[in-house]
Amino acid sequence: MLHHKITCSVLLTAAGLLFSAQTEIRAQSFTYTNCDLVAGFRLIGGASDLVVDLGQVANFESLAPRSVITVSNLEITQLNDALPTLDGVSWSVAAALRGNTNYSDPLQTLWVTSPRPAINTPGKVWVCESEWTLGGTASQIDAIGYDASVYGNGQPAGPDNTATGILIPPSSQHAYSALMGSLGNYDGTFQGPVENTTPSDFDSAGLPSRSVLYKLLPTASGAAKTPGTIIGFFDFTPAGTLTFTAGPPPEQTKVSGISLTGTVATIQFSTINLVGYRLRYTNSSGLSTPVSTWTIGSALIGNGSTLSLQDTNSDPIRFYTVEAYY
Amino acid sequence: MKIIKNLRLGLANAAGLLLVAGASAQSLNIHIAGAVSLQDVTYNTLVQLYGGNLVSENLSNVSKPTAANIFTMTGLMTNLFGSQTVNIYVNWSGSGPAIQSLTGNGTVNFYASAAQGNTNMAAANVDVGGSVVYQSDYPYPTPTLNDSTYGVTPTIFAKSPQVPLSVSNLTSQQLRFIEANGSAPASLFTGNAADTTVIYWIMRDIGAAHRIISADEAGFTGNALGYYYTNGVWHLDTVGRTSWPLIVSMITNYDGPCITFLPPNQAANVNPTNILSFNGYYPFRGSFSTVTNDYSPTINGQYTCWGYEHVMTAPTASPNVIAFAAALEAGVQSNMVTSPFSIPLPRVNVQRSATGGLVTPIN
Repeated sequence: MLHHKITCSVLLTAAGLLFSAQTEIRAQSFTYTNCDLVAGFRLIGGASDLVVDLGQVANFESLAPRSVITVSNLEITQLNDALPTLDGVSWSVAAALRGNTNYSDPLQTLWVTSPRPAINTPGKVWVCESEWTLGGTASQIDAIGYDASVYGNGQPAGPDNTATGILIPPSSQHAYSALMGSLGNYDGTFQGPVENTTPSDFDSAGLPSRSVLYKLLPTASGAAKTPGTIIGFFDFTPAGTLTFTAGPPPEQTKVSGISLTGTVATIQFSTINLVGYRLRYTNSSGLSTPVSTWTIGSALIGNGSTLSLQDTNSDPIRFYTVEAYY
Repeated sequence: MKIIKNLRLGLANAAGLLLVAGASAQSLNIHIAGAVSLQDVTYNTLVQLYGGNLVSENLSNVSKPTAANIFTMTGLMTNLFGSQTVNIYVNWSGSGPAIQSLTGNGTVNFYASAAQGNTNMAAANVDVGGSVVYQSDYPYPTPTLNDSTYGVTPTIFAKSPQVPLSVSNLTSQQLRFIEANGSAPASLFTGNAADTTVIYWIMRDIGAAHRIISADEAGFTGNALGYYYTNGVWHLDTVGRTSWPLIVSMITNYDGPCITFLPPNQAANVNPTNILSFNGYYPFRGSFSTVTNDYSPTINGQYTCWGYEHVMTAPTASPNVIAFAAALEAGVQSNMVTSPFSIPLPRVNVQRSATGGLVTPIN
């Protein structure tokens, strides 16, 4: 956000009053409000951490399932200034509720990413814990945004200190690195490492680095730990973009049955709630072509149960695959 | 230093009222801000620097001037500045605002007048700062300030009267927990699962250096939460209270069970039985006194929650400000010898290189 400062000089002439207005654009330093989702990027041994404010987490929670947005607050210029390479970069996204009265969730509610070892390999499922336990992590998450704003306030605004992104030396007490800790678990306060680290061939391999965003509500005293709720997932790409997709990520689909009744083929498979599934099919000649080129058939939205898709055709041979998509 | 160039005749009416803003030509105005830990010795030193030529002072605490958080003085400091009128403006607003202003990033409000009872405020840049943490503890690294350390002040932890009697100590772990959550079950401190009472954490804003000292000592790096009490209810406090009297009120009254950190001169308001040890030690021997204290545990490294006392000026400070700061520091060092709230540096047998850093013997 830019702050527009308008200065006016007034000239009195014989002809009357003339205004000479000049608009001065003044950049604003990094700002943070509690419950903003904040992304952190760092390279071990790097000169700078990058902290990016993604805006209020409520904006992400309210997206319709399978909506995809590109996080425009992550600027490629800041990413390039902070990180000489995207190989081996550790990143995370999180928010914590610390007294923001616009939210009805309980104090110390967390939104934390869980890294996937590979795009199709599930990561750890974060669990809800007591308010006392989540509080320690909430304090660290809140500090990543707050301290970045404190640091930014003491520095001149500019390309690497904007309202939504800031570079901070990792040696600073206000740095993402200092608050995350060397183990990537919010300085030892969280149940596991939250950072996703891109592989050494990330730049060349072309696959995104994916982390799932969980919402963790404090549990009642003495209550069992329950899995958090998946809000969506982030994909960090070799091009330096970050996208958010609402809802759970698609998983490798397991076909549990196939039958043919007359001309109707029925394919059964397990589903994940809110994930989209569709049939793709081809004939013998297309079998050697990439699945992504096969014809798209019927589709449904998963509900966590075993469901089926049907295809009516009179081909003697037809090959099917079930594709999870968004 | 600021020279008042637009001269206005000094007003002295029959009652002897003096207004700083129009005191005399070429008055020397010096604005002091910083840590409240230094208030008693600094006040006494300023009175000594004026000697018999202190014409007027405007104190926020008339009954106890050494405890005044805001005051303005006017008169002559003949040994330093001859016949030039010297106006001293003081606001113990915390180390943070002082460093922020000295580095050109803001102003501090002061009493505009030395006429007692006039509470009109005027914003000004700080000329001399008192801090109990380093410049690097605040995010204002440039320009590098002139920094002289001359003493040590411990941070003291205290509880309100309604905290269970068995709570007499605070550990680093407990401090990290209660700072992160803003409150904690009493069982965490008593070891008794039946103690389900919630103990609140009350705290100053980040401008108070003792908040930094206590957090760094405990290894707390997060963003702290606290609570404050008003109208019979405890409210979440995401920022911290802006002055020590607000903290002292909650910790000394029967508002509810709460714990906090204090500079020694504020701990003087607490019943000594409600002062907590930290990691098993007190900063002093025996019971805390408002007259004299034996700080041997701090002096010798047994108690480590403390900070250095600094006098800071901007690198662009005028010769007058530098001369004044040197005289102030010398006077404060002298007065500290008898102060119950500070430890002169020559007495201290240990050292550290950063706030919360490792404490090592000097010899």
